Amino acid sequence: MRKFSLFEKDDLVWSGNSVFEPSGPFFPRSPNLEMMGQDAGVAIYSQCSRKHERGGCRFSSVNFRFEPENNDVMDFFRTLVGGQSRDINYNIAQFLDMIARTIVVEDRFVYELQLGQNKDSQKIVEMNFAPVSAPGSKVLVFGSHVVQLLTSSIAKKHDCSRIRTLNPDYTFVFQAPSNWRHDLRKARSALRFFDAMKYRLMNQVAESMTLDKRRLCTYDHSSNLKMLAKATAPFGWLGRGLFHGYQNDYLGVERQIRWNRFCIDLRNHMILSLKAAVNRIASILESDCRLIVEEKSEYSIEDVRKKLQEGKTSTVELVRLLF
Amino acid sequence: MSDKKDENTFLSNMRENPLSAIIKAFGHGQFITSMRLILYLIISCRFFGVCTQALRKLRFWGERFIFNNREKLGGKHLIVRPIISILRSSCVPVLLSFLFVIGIYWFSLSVTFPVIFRNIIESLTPKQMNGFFTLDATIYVTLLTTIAGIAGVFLALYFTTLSLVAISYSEPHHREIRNLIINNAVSRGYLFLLAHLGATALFGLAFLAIGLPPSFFLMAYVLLIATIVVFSFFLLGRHIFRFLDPRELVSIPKANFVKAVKRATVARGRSNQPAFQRHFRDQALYELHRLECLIKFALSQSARGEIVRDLCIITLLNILSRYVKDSSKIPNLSMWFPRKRLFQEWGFTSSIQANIAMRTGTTPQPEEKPDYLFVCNAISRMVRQSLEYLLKAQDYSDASAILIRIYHTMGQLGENLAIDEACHLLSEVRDVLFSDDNKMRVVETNDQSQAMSMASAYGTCVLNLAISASQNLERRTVDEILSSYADLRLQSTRQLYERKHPREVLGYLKKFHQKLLFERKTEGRVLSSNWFMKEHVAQRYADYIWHLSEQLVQCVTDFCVQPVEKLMKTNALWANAELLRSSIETTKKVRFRITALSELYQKLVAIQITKEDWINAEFITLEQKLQNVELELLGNIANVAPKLTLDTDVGKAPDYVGIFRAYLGDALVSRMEMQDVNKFESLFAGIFKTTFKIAYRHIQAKDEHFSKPHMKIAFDTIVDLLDLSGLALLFSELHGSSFYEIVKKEWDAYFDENHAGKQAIQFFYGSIDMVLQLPVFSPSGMERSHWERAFIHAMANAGFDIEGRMSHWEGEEKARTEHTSRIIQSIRPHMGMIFRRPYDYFAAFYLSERPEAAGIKLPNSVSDCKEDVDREKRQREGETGL
Repeated sequence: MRKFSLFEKDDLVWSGNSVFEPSGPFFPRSPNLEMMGQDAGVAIYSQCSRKHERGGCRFSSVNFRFEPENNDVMDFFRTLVGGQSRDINYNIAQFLDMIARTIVVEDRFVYELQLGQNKDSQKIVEMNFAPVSAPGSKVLVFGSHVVQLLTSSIAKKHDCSRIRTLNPDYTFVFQAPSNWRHDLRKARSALRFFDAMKYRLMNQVAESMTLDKRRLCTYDHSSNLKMLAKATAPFGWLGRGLFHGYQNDYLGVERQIRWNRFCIDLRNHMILSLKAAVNRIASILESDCRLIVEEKSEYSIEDVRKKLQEGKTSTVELVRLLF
Repeated sequence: MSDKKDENTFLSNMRENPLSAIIKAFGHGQFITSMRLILYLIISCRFFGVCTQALRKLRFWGERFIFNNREKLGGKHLIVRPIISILRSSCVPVLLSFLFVIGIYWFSLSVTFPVIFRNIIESLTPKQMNGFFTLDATIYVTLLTTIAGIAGVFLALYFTTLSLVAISYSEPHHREIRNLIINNAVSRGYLFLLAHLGATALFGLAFLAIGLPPSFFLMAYVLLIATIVVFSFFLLGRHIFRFLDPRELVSIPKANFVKAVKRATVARGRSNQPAFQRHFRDQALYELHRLECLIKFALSQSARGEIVRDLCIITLLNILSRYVKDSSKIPNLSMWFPRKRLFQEWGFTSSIQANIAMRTGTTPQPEEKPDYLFVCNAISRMVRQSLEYLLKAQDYSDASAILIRIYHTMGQLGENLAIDEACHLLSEVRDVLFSDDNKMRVVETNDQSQAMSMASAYGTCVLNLAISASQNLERRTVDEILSSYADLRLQSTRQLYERKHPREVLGYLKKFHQKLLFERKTEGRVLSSNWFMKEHVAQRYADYIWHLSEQLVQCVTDFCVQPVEKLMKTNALWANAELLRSSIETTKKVRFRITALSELYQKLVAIQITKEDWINAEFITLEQKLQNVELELLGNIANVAPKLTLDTDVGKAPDYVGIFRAYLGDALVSRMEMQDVNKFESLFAGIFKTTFKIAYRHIQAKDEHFSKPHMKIAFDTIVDLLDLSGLALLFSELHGSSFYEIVKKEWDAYFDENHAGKQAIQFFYGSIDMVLQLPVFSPSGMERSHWERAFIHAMANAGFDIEGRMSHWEGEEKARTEHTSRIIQSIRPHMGMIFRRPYDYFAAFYLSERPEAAGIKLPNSVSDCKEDVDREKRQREGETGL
């Protein structure tokens, strides 16, 4: 069990097991390690370039806005999302990005809200911020000012004498779009298999080096790569350059376009869940407040695809456009 | 129901132990079920696999046995091997004969003719013949014994003949040649027939001995074979005696080599089976080794020149050109090409090597790379050896015949775009001809004409290569090149290989095709658009064209300039002149080819979309390089040309002096046109000296053959020189350059040295007077008009109206282009022509002003020219009021 302090310690504490471990820009480590030992989904998600590290799914290309601006809801929301920046968009992007990593790993991300009490008999609201496979791992513990805010409003709604319940009271579920789930599952299993193969290959190479067997050095794992490329074809994962030598530029750009579309679909799906969450918070706090999302991006994926098919723009320029 | 159940049990057993299931089914008498099981076995593809596996196992055990026992047997393999080969070769005819005799007896004893046939035969045979067909056992035995004896006798005769021929190849290193004779197909067939005859006769006797009746069919068959054996011996003897000449033997390895290459190509379907490819390569190398043995033998013979020439010319170079034609159909990564270990740079090494190097912190290990030149290496080595021997033995005509054949081969290599092979072969030839001990110089001292012929053939090799290679590419239109993208879409690569792409292009296209296969496999279909594939093909070809152009320029430097430099250091004169001539021709024409290639390149570049991956090809730099090379060669010519006039033998050698003067003149004019003074002085000095040597040879030396045409040559050369000097004057006036200064210095020096200046000026005036104005009358007149046009072109570039002032008479005077020089002002071009020749200007402004010219009447054209300029001067001065 490893602990990471993602946000401010007093405000939020985040903990999780290794499956849930986020990787990428926040916790940079060597690419080999990431590919070899880590979870498959994380490897898929960490495809995103550094330019988009604030949101692999282009979260930074949307603008979040509350309408009408309700301070209670906004405070609660800010606390929920966390982050050090004053820019709400930046914080939401970070928050959603973290969830997106988990979704690619686990298909579903459940956000549970429980009312409870801490050791000092202080009233608290506990939020389970965890994937389904790791139930009970307490992730977010809100500070007292949120508790006051929430307890007062929740107490109004519920029976005031019963503060702690065992069952979750409010559950927000973030999910991958249903059309991607099957493909994602397939890709994850392929990637795990590939990791194992690669590990074996590396062992063989090391062995061949010590024994000076020339033939082993030319071991070709193109069939494994083919399998992996086939499994990840629906959402166009580029394999962090794994297929670079095996596919031509056209297919590379085509897969990049597909990957961008996957990311955007995932983002849109998550934003829908987030909107629902805001609506529920608003209903808890009994106020009228909605989350408005505005797209900032200047191009559509289909435009890029059309340009590629027409063949008037170079593939390098198209890739520049995608990023 | 029970049958069904049984079948199911058998089927379930089948998965565990197929063979026992089938045997059990047979045992139970269920024939149909067992057949079905066998079918099932075959269909499930196990049967074939099991069989091949079993065979491989057997082979492995056999080989292991041999390997284990090799140590034990030690030197005995020399005895064991012949025994095994004897057993192997004798078993087949013996077994066949045995089976054949059994077949005949079975046929005659058990098969009865239908009654109707017998009746027909009986009705057709005369009644007196009825008793004749009963065989007498004693005579039958005698006949068969005699025939067996005949077989023995002919066997002995055959080996006597063979040993007679083989004795001429008695040295230990002639083993391969002896093998060739013994193993040739006709001999083997004859030997087989003899063995078969003897064995059949003996088996016939043996069958008689065990109590079977004599067979009429057997007797007839044995008689027939015996007759064939006797008569064919004459043919065989003749065939074997022809082997005394090694040239007759060459066809066998050649045919085998070509067969091996053909089998390795994609068309034969074994291209992706490494073991087969390796086997074909070994076969081919063995055949080349045999050829080398034959050549070595031929070199040790007394009449070697002719034999070696034939072997080299007809066979080796023919093999090379045929191989080059077929080798483009062999995949780049095929095991046909032997591997050599090379240290690769970081950028070119494979990912696995890079990975290992990064992990271990070292540089990449050497990698195995295919050696595409292994056949060419072997052949050029043999050619080199033969050439060295011939030169050593002073067989110059044969050597030059080989060189001419190499020249032709260059064309074929270029046609198949095998530039690397051609360069390799040429470098071997160059090393022989222009080695440090200067073989060419030796050749020239012994045989001048052969030396010139060799220099000519060698010098034009690069030209032939360049022309045929560029023509091959120019013949392909852009559409044709791009259309090969359709082959990339196909799953098989066969079409790709049949297009005859150059090897470099083919390598890239094959890789690209593999990527498309990956795409097809992973995505279900090929997504890549046609434009992308077309661009890829175009890019590869553009790269190749640039690479080829670079290679050609490099070839010119390596194979023309370097030998010329080496020859210049020796006293070789005629070979050097010929080599210089051919080198200059090569340089000039390769420049045209490169221009044509650059046009094709531009057309291919026009369709580029991804600009990043295209290389930046600058054909201008290549052309400049060639220009520099040409200038360097011309500098050499300026040194060589004056020497050539000393012992010119008119009619025997080409008119090098005339050719060189034309080269120098062209070069001087182009220098003046480009206003480039670099090397102008040396070039002008060269032409100056040459001209005067020719002129004196024709005038001063009391030549018996001095007649009108020779006099004309003398006048023409002088007029050429005057014309060039005049052009220097005009160009200097036009551009303000210093050419005239250089020219003037040369002439001044001439007049200072020469005491008979007056006569000389009279001679110059005479030649100006006698010159025919029309350009068609002499080649040098053509040259002069060409130079004149260069000057007019320069005037046009300087802004003058060269179309003429027709409008002057029509009253519409065009604006004159002002120029500081009065001479230039006086020139009025009309319809691209000028009225006065450049030599007129030179005579008017230099010769007439020499002190030696005092009192000599100017030629009419010169005085007119002078008047023109004076008039212009007066007019201008009048205009400005001066």
